[in-house]
Amino acid sequence: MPYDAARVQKELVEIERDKASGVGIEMKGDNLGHLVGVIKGPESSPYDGGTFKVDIEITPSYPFEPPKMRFITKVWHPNVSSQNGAICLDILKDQWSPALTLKTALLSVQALLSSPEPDDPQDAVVAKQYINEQETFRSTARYWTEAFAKVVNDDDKVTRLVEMGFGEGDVKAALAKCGGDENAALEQLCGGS
Amino acid sequence: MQRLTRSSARQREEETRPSLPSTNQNSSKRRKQSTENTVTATGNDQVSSDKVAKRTPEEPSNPTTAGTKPSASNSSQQPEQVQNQESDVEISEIPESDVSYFGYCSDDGGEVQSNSKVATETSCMDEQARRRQQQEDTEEVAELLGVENSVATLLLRSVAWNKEDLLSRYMEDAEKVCAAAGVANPAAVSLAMLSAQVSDRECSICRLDGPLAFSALSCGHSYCDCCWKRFLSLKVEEGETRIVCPEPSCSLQVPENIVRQLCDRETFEKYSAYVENAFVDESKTCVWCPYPNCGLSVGTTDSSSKFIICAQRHSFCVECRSEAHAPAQCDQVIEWLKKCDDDSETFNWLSANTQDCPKCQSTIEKNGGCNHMTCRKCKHEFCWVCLGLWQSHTDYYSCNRFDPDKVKASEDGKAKSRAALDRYLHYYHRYMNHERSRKLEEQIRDKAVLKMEELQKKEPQRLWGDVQFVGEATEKLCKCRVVLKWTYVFAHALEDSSSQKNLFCFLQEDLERNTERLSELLESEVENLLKAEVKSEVLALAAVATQSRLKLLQGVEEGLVA
Repeated sequence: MPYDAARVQKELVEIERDKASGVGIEMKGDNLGHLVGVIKGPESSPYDGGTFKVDIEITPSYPFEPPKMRFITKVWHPNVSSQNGAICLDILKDQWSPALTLKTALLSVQALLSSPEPDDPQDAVVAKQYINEQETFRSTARYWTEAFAKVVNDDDKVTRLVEMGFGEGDVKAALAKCGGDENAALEQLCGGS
Repeated sequence: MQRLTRSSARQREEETRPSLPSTNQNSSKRRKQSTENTVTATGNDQVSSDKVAKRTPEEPSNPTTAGTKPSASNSSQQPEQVQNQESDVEISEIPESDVSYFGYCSDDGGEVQSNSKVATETSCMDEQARRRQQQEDTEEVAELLGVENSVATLLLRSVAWNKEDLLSRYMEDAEKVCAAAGVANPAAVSLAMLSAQVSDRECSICRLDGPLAFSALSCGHSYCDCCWKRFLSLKVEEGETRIVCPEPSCSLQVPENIVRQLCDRETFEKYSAYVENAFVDESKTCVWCPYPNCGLSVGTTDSSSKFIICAQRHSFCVECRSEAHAPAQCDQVIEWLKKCDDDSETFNWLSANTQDCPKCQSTIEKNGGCNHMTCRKCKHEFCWVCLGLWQSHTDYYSCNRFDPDKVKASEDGKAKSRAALDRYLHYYHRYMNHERSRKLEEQIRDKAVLKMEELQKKEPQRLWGDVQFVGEATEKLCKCRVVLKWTYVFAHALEDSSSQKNLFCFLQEDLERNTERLSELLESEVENLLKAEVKSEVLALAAVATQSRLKLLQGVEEGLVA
């Protein structure tokens, strides 16, 4: 096996046990080499209330090399690329140590959300805004959290689409057909009428 | 010499052959291969080495010994001196008093250099000498502080190998020094590697349960030997020379002997090589030679000049890491090279390799360094650089001078930028030309040796020593060419028609004229060079050209005041 599966397995069990930490890991099928991290937006930050997904790739040399992490959920943050979710964090690069774990790495990413480091930016535009227009930054970050990081349940989608003037039955059928994708369902409803 | 139009196929061939600097290994190898003749050819080097070997003991204040290696003990100094003699052979042509503020070297003494402000030899430290110095420093620190060698290495590396600095700081605040070096305090116990403790607990890296053999540095953060080994191997693979304990909060560095203990031989050898290279990178006493594929380190401490020479005789500037560029200053060189890069497009059409004869318009290709051209067709003699009559270069020489009036007159009404471009091109053209000449002239010695081989087949009584002086004179010629090349960068930075510039142009003119005379003579056929009167003329001209070179450099050093 290319990576240390025994260690990854143990880490997954540990992280599953500790639900209070605010971070978690989901499996993508049976592949231990490719995981999805879940981070709760820290309180009293513009990311509060959001749930952020992180793509985790376990490299063959893990744990001697850091795992590759990238935000799947769009985030407005100076150290995260608003384009591709790349994260600028020292422990995911040269400061990695084999004694660190996926959990500690995810916790560090969570801590990064609370305290951005604009002097070492990943996204120059966001970093500039963070330095020069704190208020605009906070509201943009909050807006992105609302738009991309909120888990929306189906009832809310139905209510919103019905409010637009579509029949409840049609809405439910369209949503089911589009696998719960609200925008695709809306398109279908518009195209169908 | 006449360098005419379509040169023969043979000459072209010679030109396209990669130039082999006379001292590099390839050429000496090549010469060694060609039977006994080579003995005499390399005998050239032999003689000059002998000269130096004799000279060195007469100069007790050999800087390599005096500066970089403050004596550990008398006994350890003994073999060092022998080594120094060996390495001095490599730079045999530079007697101690030859390098001045501008770092130029004279080969033949003379009154000029006696006025130089600073006179020291540029030291060169070969790999062996470097390793020995490293070893000695390490052992001395280890003994004085009562620590193991690998801990001493870590301590020394934290202060850029400045032994005195380390010792005084250690006496002041050992705690601070140890923390900065990633060494446990007291340093003596840093190596308490708790090796091979078999335990049943889980290793925090691989998460396997025991029984496993655990090891730790003196910080006590223990991991199984298997993980240690993989951790160290991967770090070495990455080229890391400062490996710290895997525990994220710990800053203790892994000493060399632990790497040796835990890794296989190949990995450890790689690691040692990296650490040795790191010495040059970290130490302030030596630098890498910037020449491509050279890879030698050169000591800098004993040199008051910023121009130093490596054992392969590459001379370079310690500050800007480009070719030794006297009389030009580093900032002038950087600005100039940038400008050359920017303007290269504009210059492409100007720097074509052919020119037309100013009289009969035949196409002319230059294949030698000499700028005195004689058209084979119409016998017109002219200067390759300014296309003016060659006659004017011997009687009234003005080729090197940029004439602002001339430009004003001809370009009247045109934009100033055009004049600036003309001014730049004037200097660039001459700068490039000297560079090209030097490259061609570097081959003179090799060509003479080849020619001699041919001759000897016909006339076995010929001696190889007969062409030895050609190599020496060529070297002097090339030194003049390098200085001439950089004089145009210096002149470009000088204000036009200032008194300094006038004096500078005068000195430059003198050097250029003498250099061209020497070049012309050296490029004549070997049969001609073998004549006794020609030989003495070559030697005299080489001395005169060198004198001009030193005069120019000293003039600049003194601020160009008449």
